[in-house]
Amino acid sequence: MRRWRQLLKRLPVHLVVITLAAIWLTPSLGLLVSSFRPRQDLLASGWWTALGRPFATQWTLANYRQVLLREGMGRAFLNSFIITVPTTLITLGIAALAAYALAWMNFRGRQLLLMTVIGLIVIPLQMTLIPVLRMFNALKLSGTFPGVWLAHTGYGLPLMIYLLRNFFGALPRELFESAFIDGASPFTAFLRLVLPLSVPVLASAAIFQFLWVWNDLLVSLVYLGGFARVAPLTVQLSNLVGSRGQDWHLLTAAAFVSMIVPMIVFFSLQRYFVRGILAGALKG
Amino acid sequence: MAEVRLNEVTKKFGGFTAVDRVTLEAQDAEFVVLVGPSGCGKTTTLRMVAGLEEVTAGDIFIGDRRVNDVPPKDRDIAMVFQNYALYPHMDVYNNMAFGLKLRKFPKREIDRRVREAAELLGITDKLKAKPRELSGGQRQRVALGRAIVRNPKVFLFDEPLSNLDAKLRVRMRAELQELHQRLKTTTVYVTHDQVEAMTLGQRVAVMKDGLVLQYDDPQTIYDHPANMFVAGFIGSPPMNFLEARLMEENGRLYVQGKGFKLLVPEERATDAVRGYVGKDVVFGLRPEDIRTPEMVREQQPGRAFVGKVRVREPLGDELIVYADCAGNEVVAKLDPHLAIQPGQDVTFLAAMERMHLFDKETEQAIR
Repeated sequence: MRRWRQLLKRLPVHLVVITLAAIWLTPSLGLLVSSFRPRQDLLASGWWTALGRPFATQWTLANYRQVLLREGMGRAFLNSFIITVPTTLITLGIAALAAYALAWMNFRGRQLLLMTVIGLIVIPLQMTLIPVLRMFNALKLSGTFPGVWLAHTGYGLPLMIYLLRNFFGALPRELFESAFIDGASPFTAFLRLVLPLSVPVLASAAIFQFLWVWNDLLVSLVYLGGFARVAPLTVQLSNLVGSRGQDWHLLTAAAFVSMIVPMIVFFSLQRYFVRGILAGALKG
Repeated sequence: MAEVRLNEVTKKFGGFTAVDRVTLEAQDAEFVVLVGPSGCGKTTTLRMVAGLEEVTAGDIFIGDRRVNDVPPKDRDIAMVFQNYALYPHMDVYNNMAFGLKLRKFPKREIDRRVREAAELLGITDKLKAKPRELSGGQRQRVALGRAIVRNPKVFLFDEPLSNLDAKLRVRMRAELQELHQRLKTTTVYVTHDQVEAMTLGQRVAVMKDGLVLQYDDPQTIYDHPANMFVAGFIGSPPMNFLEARLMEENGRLYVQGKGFKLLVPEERATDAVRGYVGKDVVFGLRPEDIRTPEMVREQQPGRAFVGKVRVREPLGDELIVYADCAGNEVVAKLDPHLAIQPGQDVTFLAAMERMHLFDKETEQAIR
């Protein structure tokens, strides 16, 4: 009896979650199914008909082959990595050091600096596009990977510093004092205490930053200028929509190419994802 | 091995004076306890010795060296924290070895010292365990081990036993004492627990509001408290304080208050005490210095007063009685075999040779 009542009590929650998941998943599923169907099938019938008779349907990898090799998505895939991986590493490296200093080192103006960093979170990045682009042009950084690394790092830092500082700040003070008495310098304490103890939050920060940069279109488009040589997946995909707007079989495949990495990242690291968010919100 | 000396040490946090001109010294190999209620400045004092807080004024010496501006790692001290502060991601071995590794000790020396300390503390089988797998007592031992392996000049303890359950605390107390007898390292120990202070300290500093009120060996503090605070803080149940007036009749001194008039013994009627004749004082008497006629072989005059028993607490080895004496509450520690019931009027005898008198204004002892 009790078990039934508990199940009944949780039913509304489950219904809502399932409905939400269905609403979100259906288009993605449609994309996935469509991307494996030949052009003429795609235009003749809806993707769900293919699901109805999976063995009668003609499945093909040709769309992917064409998108990756002839439509530049392969190059764009590589570019996305060249942009995302260094950006994530640079952002996290700087943010971790800054967060440690803001949490545990005593220096004048620390509080003011922290307030400034937190204040930066609310500034919309669109406001900075024109001045930064002009500066990049002057420095000959626009259209280059280092330029977009810098831009993404700058946009990511305030939130990352805030996230990490909250976590570092919640580490017990005695741990540091103990280490200092043991003979550790502030930097040793950072390397040997803070980093190993912060793996979950570092992982979650890394995932955040990785996904944000990977999925970004605006920043890349503005600072890289949309040249195929340097364009990441998002830029290339939006180019495709323009040049190949009718070719759904290609667009669906291209969209899936750009989604695959975030999905791998998310599913392989979701353990950290959930834990990291909790750690940041509540307490270490 | 070294002595620790504090000379007029003051610590201010903004406008708040946490530690006020504290002068103390711990001799070489001495075990000194700082005790007092929370907020009395004992931990701040300890942290200044450790170098974790800057000194606002005054000097701290470890050995012959003035250490005010020496960073913690160069003071040759080891500290044990209340919450142990073990490194959660390192196993027991590495927790203990960390300090030695940072000081670039050779591997074999590190290994020897860690194993020796683990042996001494009985945690050899736990060397591979992470702190979260250990019980409170074991964590405490690891924290001790981390201090021992460094072989420092001074141990600093900040309420190390207060996170343990009562039974374990008693055991660790004994172990700490044994450890000190074996290692003979100068120790400064902070606690709010007066029993810990009395049992562990060779000398005890009672602190309140940033001041050291008395610094003496435990027995002297108990027998001759310097003021009402020390008298009330040390001892359980606490000392009885009764408002009274000092009177002289026929050349003899009496303490008189509501419901009692007690004779001050000749040897206690010092010049200082005589100076208070005709003045209001506070009369202090420890619970165990109150007896009943059944407990005394030979009755002396001028010692008796009457109280109505309100509550009795038999503890097996002693009987605590709360009685009402003309509006004053009096606590007495009596023989457990006495047939005393609540509501009963009982004659009490005061051990007047062990009485305490305090100035009503300054609360200082009159001797």
